Amino acid sequence: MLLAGVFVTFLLLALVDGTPFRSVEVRFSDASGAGLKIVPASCHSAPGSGCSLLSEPPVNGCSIGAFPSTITQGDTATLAWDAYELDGLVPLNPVGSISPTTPAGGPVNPTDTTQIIPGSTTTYTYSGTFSSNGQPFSCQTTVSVVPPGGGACTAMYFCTSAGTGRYFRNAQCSNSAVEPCPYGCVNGQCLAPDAPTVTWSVRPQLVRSGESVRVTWSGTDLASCQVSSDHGDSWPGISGARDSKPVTRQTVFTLSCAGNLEGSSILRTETVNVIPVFQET
Amino acid sequence: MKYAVTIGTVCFLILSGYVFFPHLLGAAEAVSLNMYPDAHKAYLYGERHFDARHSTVYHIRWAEYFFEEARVLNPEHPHVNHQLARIAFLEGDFERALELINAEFEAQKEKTDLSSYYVRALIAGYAGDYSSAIKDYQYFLQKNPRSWAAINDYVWVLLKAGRSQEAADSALYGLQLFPENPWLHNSAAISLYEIGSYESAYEHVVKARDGVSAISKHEWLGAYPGNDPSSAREGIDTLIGSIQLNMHTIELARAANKVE
Repeated sequence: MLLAGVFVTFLLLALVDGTPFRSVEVRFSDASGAGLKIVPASCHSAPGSGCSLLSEPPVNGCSIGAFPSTITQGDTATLAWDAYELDGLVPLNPVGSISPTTPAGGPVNPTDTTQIIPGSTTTYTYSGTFSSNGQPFSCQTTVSVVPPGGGACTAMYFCTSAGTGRYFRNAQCSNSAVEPCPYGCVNGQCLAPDAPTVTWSVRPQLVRSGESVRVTWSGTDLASCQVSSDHGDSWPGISGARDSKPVTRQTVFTLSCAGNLEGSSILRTETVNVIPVFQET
Repeated sequence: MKYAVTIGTVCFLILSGYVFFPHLLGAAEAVSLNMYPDAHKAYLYGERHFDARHSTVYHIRWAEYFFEEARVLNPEHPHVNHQLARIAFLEGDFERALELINAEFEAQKEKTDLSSYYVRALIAGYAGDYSSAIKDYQYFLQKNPRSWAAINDYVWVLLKAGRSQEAADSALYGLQLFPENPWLHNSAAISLYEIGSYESAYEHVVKARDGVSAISKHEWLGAYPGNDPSSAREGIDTLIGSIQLNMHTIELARAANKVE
């Protein structure tokens, strides 16, 4: 009875609580244009909360950054800096300043932000010393300033690093694919295919009646080829090695190819003769 | 036999107390609220049950109940619409979430907490409205440029909007401030891949892979507050799986690039 009671109680508890809550965030990842998986976070969603976790100690004793890092002349950016304040439990007491001087001027708090309006591309340096041990710290960030109407980027075509395609970047720094470049890409332009070339041989060129000949062919920048004879041979392919039908009379072999370069073609012919048979009459 | 029964009963009571505790607490709070209705008290009860880092009392249904009670008692109580928006968002009801977060903006006006911009951006991003998300993330980052999560999420919506170069610039900016952050390394890898910088993408996805192995459940819950504490492992696995997939794709691109 006791065991039955325990079992029923656990069953009721399970029914009351149901399955654990699984939010849309737990398994969410979003595909980029190329299908890679992006994973957003949400640590500022609670009011007044910060993302205190995962803010690692700054490299070189300090860090500085500006957002946005590229602005139009006359716009403001926010400069943020952070100096390492603790070594374990030992306070380091960083004392530093920003150069060029921020609007407030003078020494700055170890961790703070300020609005800036640089007139031109400027590199800001946050530097100082840790007064506890006299060690210096220094870090830099650059804010790029573009003229009004100039956009943050120069509009241009560029090749992918693999040279297999061509992209366009507009003045707003947005990239878009233009076209693939099957024959390579240089300086933002697709390369055209080269003129086709072909090598082939028909051997031997003098046979006894009933013997075959060996035909071989290959080439570069070819789209298609066809080898034929006026004796009924016919072989497709941009390369190959074939034995002909038995040759019983003079036979002309023809190689006809189309190249990758539009409008290009190649035509070759070879003649095979039969050794006459002399009979005394 | 007697000892076995006693031990079994004690274990049962402890276990059922643990499982039942949020309900016991919620019920007691509900009684207290009924006796002495107060919007702020209801709000605090809601917050208590909505904190992922207190797993013994986390319960989203109780959180929603108390936030609703707070809203009934005072529709303009700060953050009450915001919290209900978060719950609707977590449940995947983005339309309702957007209504509620906009109600927060309407109620608080110039006093709207910065986190409400962040939540509205998050909702818009999940709902596919990337241009609205970009605007709200930009506003948030102008006021608080030191948020790794806001930078990471901003990169996300820039990528979805096809603005890969800006996404790469923003991700690399974030890594200046948070050089070990695996989310940012993953996002930087994706952005760099999108603009064809496969070698740089590979460097960052390796760092993402190395960094994610050190993420604890506590840290994950800090990055995703409001989630059920028991889902942390699954959430970390989602991040690990995404990074692994990205690494594979980037490696293939690198290999193809070298052959050519």
